Amino acid sequence: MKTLSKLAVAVLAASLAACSTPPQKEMDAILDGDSMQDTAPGLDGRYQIQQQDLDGGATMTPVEVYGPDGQLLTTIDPLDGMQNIGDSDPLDPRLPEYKLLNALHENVVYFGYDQYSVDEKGMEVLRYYADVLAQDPRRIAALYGHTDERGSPEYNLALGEKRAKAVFDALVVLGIDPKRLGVSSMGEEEPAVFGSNESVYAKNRRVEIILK
Amino acid sequence: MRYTKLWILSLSLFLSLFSLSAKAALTIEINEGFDNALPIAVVPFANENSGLANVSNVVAADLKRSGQFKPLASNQMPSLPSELNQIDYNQWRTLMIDNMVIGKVSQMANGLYQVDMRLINVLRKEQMMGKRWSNVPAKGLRQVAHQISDAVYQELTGKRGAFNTQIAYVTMVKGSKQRFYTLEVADADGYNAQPLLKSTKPIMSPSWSPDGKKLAYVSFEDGRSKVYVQSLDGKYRKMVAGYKGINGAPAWSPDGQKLAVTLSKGGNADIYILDLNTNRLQQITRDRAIETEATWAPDGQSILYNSDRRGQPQIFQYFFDTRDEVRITFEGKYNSDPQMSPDGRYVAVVHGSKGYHIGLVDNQTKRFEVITDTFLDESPSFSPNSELILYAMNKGGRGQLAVTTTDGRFSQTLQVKNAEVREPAWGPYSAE
Repeated sequence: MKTLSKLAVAVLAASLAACSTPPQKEMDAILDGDSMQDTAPGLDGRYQIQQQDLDGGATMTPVEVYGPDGQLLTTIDPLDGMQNIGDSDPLDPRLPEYKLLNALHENVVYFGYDQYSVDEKGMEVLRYYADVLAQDPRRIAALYGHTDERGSPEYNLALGEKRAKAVFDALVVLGIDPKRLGVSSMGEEEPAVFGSNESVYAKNRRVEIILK
Repeated sequence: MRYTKLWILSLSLFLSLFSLSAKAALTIEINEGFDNALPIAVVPFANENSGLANVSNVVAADLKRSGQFKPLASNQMPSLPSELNQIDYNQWRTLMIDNMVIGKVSQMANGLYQVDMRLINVLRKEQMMGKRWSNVPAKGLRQVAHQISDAVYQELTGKRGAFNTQIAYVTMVKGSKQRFYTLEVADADGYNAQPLLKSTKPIMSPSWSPDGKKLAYVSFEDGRSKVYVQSLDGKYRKMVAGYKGINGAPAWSPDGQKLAVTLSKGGNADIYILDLNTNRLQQITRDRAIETEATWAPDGQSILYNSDRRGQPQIFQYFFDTRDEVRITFEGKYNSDPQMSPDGRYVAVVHGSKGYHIGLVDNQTKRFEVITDTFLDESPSFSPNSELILYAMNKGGRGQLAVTTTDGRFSQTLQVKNAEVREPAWGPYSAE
């Protein structure tokens, strides 16, 4: 549990500040519950967990629950009730992100236009992260595929998944247990960089390796 | 005056269950004139001011937006008749006005409103149509105006109007730390916008149920794409596809009983048909390539979808009875997101060659034509009368919506102040 407490910040933020005050009933449910179950992301007026800016390897900060007026209501240890992070679904959005200090490679693999094969530069990144995962068996990784903004959004959702799968396949070939990897796609919905030119597009056609 | 007839209509009120005040309305900008548009005079209705929706303005704007009419500006009108006996026909003939709409708004004893309209053939000096709406609340006046537009459009073009319909779309506002997505529904002219769902995670691909009462869409609210069905009144909401992998591209079958969806639970993106009554899934494609963006032919006998099995996205059609698959697009290296027009004549696609534009396959002539020339055009959606295509594009670095005629000659943009707009879907005719 010690290493777990090195995990970085996850903040439970009142979703959509502009929204109406959440019903008191739901607030009670959140305050009473120790487990994270009550705080799963919900709809307007309820609470959502946000992964906040992380400083790699920093000390653990508990989840903070804010009221609609910005006042801190309570703090919850996000890992209470979690047995072992290594057994969790890597795509579980409640798991805090783990960032490497002084990583040798950016945790991103880039792709060509309408392509989903990993090139040699990408393989170098993946060999590094395969090594990280091999050295710390408690770590798991979520692989999020992304595309540039061009073309239709649903095709891009599928294309992003193809890219994440290509990274998944490469990591498995490099010896990582598939159970420790989660594959997902955000399509064109979450660009790393905004703009509409080729250098922006190249930065957005990517798979991000999120260690947890 | 043989045709003088007043039809008494009662307005069935659409009761909005949203207490939230309307979001910033979409504002409309007309981009091009239409050379052979029909001149018409929509004369300001008597008593239509006093802070109420301006019925004649709404009608004139509707008719102009169709690309088929050129309404005369009210400041160029020689007189403002609101009754038949006030019309000096020669005044209008010299202005080359063949048709005119006159009318009046009056408050009834119960505080509600009555709207009278008459469509006049100036050449024959006779009324072609007269209608009356009674017991109309103030907030229902825009809807009456759209019904007037529909009636005029039908009478003069022989085609059904689609002015009294709704559109769905997603707005996105960038905050300093996160983004705010809202799924909204608005009138087809951009007014009366109502939020259906707000999230800090992406919302995609709204698809209308054929009865216009529900939307299926994709939400990333719990971290990854899942398909939800929600009623417009907000009382019903259900996650209908949350399998491992992606869950996306919902498309309602014409009978309202099924959803075509894209799932990758089998290892890669394939088309499935989800029976909404039994929750049973039928897998349609089994290729190792990407198959997604299914859409139904209006007769429900086939679906069209995008497959990159030949190395690039192209459109295929699958027939349920014979299980035949036919390739539909051959032009260029990128054709995606097909939509068939409700009359079955056209298939609209996103066409990538030099840039991304909306292309149309004409099922009658088998010809393919690119009909838009804006930037990053995507998500085409037909009006229920098959006359117009609503789509998303990018202008000035911002996502906006545009509407074009199927020949591409007349277009308009719809934008929301301080927000990106995308993922538009034109709703069906409202059930009357």
